[in-house]
Amino acid sequence: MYLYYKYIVMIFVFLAPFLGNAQEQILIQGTIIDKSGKPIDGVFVVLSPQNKTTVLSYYLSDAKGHYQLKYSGNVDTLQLVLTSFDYEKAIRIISKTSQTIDFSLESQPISLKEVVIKADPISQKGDTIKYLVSSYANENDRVIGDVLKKLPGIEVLSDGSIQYNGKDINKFYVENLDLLQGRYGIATNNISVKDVAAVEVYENHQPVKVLTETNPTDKAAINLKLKDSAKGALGAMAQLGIGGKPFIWDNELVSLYFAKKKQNINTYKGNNSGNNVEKELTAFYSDGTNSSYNTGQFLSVLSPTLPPINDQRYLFNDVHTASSNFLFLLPDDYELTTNIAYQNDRRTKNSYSNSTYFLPDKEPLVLEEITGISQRINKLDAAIKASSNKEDFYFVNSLNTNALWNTNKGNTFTGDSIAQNLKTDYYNLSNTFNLIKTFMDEKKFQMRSYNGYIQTPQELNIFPGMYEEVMTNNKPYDKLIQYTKYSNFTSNSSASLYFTKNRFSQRYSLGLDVDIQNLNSSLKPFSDNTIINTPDSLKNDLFWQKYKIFFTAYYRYQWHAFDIITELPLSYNFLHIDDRFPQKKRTDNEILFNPFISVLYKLNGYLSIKFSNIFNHDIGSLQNTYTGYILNNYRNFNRNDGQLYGYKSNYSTLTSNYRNVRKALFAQMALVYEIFTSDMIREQYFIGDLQIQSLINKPSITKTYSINGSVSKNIYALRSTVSLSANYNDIFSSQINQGELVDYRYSIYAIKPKIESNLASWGSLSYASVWSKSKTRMENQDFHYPAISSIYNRLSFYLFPIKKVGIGINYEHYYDSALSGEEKNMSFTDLNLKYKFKRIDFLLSWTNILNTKQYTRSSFADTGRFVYIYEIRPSQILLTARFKLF
Amino acid sequence: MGRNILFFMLLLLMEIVYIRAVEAQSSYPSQYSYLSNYIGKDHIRTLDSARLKITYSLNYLPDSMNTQNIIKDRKTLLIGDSIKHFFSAYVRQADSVLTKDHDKGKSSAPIKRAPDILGEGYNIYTDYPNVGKRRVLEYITELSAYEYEEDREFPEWIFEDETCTILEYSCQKASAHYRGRDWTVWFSTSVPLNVGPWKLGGLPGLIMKAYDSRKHYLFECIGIEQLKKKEPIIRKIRFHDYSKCTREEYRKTQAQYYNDFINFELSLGFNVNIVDDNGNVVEHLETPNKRYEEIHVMWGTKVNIADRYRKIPYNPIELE
Repeated sequence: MYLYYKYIVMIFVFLAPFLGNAQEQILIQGTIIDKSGKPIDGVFVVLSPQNKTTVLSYYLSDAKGHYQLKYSGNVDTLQLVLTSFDYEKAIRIISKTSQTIDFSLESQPISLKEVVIKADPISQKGDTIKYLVSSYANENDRVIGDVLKKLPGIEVLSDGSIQYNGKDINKFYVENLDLLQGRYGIATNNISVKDVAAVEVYENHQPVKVLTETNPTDKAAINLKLKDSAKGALGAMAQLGIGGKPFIWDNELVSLYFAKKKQNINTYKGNNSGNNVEKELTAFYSDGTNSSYNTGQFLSVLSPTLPPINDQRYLFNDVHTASSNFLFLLPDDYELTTNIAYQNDRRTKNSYSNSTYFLPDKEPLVLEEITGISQRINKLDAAIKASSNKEDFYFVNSLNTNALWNTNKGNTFTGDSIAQNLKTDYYNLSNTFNLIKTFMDEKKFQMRSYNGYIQTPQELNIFPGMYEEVMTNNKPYDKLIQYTKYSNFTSNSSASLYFTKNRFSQRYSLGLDVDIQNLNSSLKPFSDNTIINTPDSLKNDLFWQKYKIFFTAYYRYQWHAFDIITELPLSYNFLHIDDRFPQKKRTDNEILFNPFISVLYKLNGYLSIKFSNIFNHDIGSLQNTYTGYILNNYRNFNRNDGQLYGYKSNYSTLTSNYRNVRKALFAQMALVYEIFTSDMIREQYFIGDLQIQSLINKPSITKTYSINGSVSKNIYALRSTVSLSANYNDIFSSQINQGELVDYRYSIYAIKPKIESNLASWGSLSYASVWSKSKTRMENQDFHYPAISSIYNRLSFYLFPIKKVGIGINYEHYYDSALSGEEKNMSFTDLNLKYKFKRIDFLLSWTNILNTKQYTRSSFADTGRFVYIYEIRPSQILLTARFKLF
Repeated sequence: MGRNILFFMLLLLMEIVYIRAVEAQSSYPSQYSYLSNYIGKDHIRTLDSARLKITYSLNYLPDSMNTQNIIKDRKTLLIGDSIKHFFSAYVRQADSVLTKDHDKGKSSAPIKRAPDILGEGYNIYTDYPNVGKRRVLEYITELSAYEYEEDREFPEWIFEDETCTILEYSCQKASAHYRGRDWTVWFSTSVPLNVGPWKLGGLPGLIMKAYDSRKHYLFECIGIEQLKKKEPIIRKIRFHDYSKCTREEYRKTQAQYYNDFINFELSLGFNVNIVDDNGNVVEHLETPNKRYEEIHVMWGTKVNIADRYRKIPYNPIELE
């Protein structure tokens, strides 16, 4: 054994010469042996002041077990401490004299306090950002959605959709598999926080692997990384809830299964407690596979737009929802998913509205309406999809069907009572096929085809007969039936070739789009069940056929920190319109060119700037072409003059994105300018209370300026995520009001601060606020309404005094400057108590403690100003028990 | 036959340089770039086995003039029965990923990390080959590796009375001037080991935190793990033509590289192409060293014209 001598002497006696009393040097030495008498080497012999750990001098015992320490300081009582990895620790108090002390040590391996490397709350590897769930979750968080909204850079909007740094996510995965096909609310609202290890964000995520190099995206995807304990085992949760008053219930049954080759989530949720459980069945992907239920709906029962508050406050429901989602991994990297979702709901709504329409050179028209609506909703979605997503091959075929059966019974009181019964059906069947294959290394071939059929029949009955002067030449009658049936067949097919060389990619596509639409409508006044009069001006039977042949060239070039993409679509459009009332046919041909360009510049790893410009020129739509009157609701007629009105729009954005994971700082800003020009203008005309809207041949321009930005930061020291977002919109537009052209400008700005804080192990805090101000200004008018300012504040505290108990207090306050009296300020308070008893979580929630009965808001839209009052759910108490079945 | 040799040499070269992650125009000196190597059985030698693993985080400034650009590394200190091995955990992770992929027959994409994470390539073996000695493997570029041996020379520590607690271990302060920097360290006698990060050591306990007076280098202990399964202490043997030298020679070579890296690349046997912003070659510099050309491998480095006569700033941990 090599011997070495290294000792370190403490330099301490600066004062000694002045004291004239130089310290005498002492020598302490000895031998260390084990119980069998063998010398021990490698033992640290540390000399310290008595009962202190401060090192004065030390020696590492040599191969003969020998040590020697010199000391010349002025500490009188010293201690020798012997430590080593394999022998017991020994301590000996000694006086300050030279001496020999031998030790005999018992063998006893040391056990160190292990320190597990703490993973960073957020970490980054290339384009993947990983949020450690344990760093953000607290006792109050039950499902992963509760944690998602606290992560810096991630925002969960009120409809449940998720944004990353200001942009909607394009995929939501669980263990890298897309089980839910966009209905990711099912995952965020049902997967337990305890089962998720990390939330991962894949930045610039191209879901189609073949296209990773050629077609970059700036969208991000989210992946939930589950804990091992959550994989491969079937879990089921149940919830039972009852309360009052009136009698309310809220039940759930959910099963989850995540294995390597199979995933499954089944849910049943039902309640009449105002809990909007159907929201989680919304599909959020915007890849064109999800058609909108509103397509082809021309008729409605007039009711105010939904209030911008937590929907649980105003939803009078009786809902049952169920969903079943399966994913199987098949041999050869194929994947099969099936998704079914069903909703059955009865809802009632009561509201009051005061609508003020500004009319040029006249007193504004004021309409007051009290509306009560009862709705029955039946909705079914089903889809089956087979896909394969490999580096050199992509295939997907998905079959989707959606159906809706709704009835709305409305009663509006305007002085007279007007009953409105609306029946709406909606059917959609579509198939999407997409195939991409790599050949000859860098070349790719793509074929895609979408075929879909939609049918929407609607019937609106209105009692009693109204607008006799317009409808029946002043003859009284009983009821009015408006019938519409819209159907649409769409087929899009294309073939593309991709070429990639170094940093230059090209794509050329050739395709055909077919769009066939039919609108059938009639408005019939009835008296004693006989039709009185149906002029052709109250009917539509319009066939719209559009064929588009297009050739698109797409180029991407990467040069240094620049990434430039341009798309040049050239299309030949053939349109045939057959309007049977009046007998009128027309054919149009048009060549359209709608170029797109985007330039991305990455300044560094944190900051990027992107400019994009998209030009759009279209030849019009069926909605702007039908000529017969349609009574959209009991006081609104709509028609067009039969002209084909195309539009041109140019949309430019400048966005910048910043994210620094080490500092947990995320920010984005966007400037948008849009100019929309058209040969038509919207006209609004009032005959008494009846509003007639139509399109008139006159060029018009709408300009939109907007700026928005957001910053979010995690402050580790305060265990908080703080974010601030702001937006400003300015719209310049015009419409014809009572025969006169009115230019108007609508401006709104909003600032939204938010804090989510896990203050301590015993409590957390959440604060959100929205300050906004909006204004409508009509040019050449002396009369201006003052701007509406509104402030919303929400403050929630959660306290966990002991492990089994949680207390949540929630306070919300709304302020609206346009209202007066008590309505100007409104507040809601809620209280939650959580108690864990064995394996059951009890939750007692008392909502709307102050028993606020109504919610009032005011808003501007176009050239009107509206005040709405909504009925609010009364104070209610709900007790739920939630437990794991297995 | 000739073709076969060429092919073989190409393969060998590819194996050596899997990733030339940092191009010459980048602001980081290339000694910090990833040196991802295959570390399969035949490509390493096991020197010892470790029973204790200490992990440090390191924040450092690659360029002392640019104080905003703080780079992070994570270091592992393996304590073997006799040898202590200090190296970058990030570099090791990249090597392991590459090795696993390679063994599965997959092509391995380099691990992309945050822009402020960059592992340093060096390996320090303390008490190797003998107790009291230290063996250091250093890299200047991926193809120029150096190996030197020195005495395990510990700093002359001055103990101070200040104490603090790091990761629940109570620590005492000590300071010393060592290799051109004034170091302050915090050590804990509860871990009876006279070791620490980098070449720091010689205290009656593990160094838990260490930084120089200008805070250009900051090591902090973030993990202590007693290994249930012993971990081998390895060194790579197959890839680098390690030039044996002394510490002083290595430091001189390093300085030469940063002062005139184009000539350095030429001397290593690389052709250098000076290119403009569009990637067009404006000047071609032929290497006088034909060692790669002799085996029919053309290995070139592209340098932006703006960097033609630029010195690369550097800030080595050892200043003297």
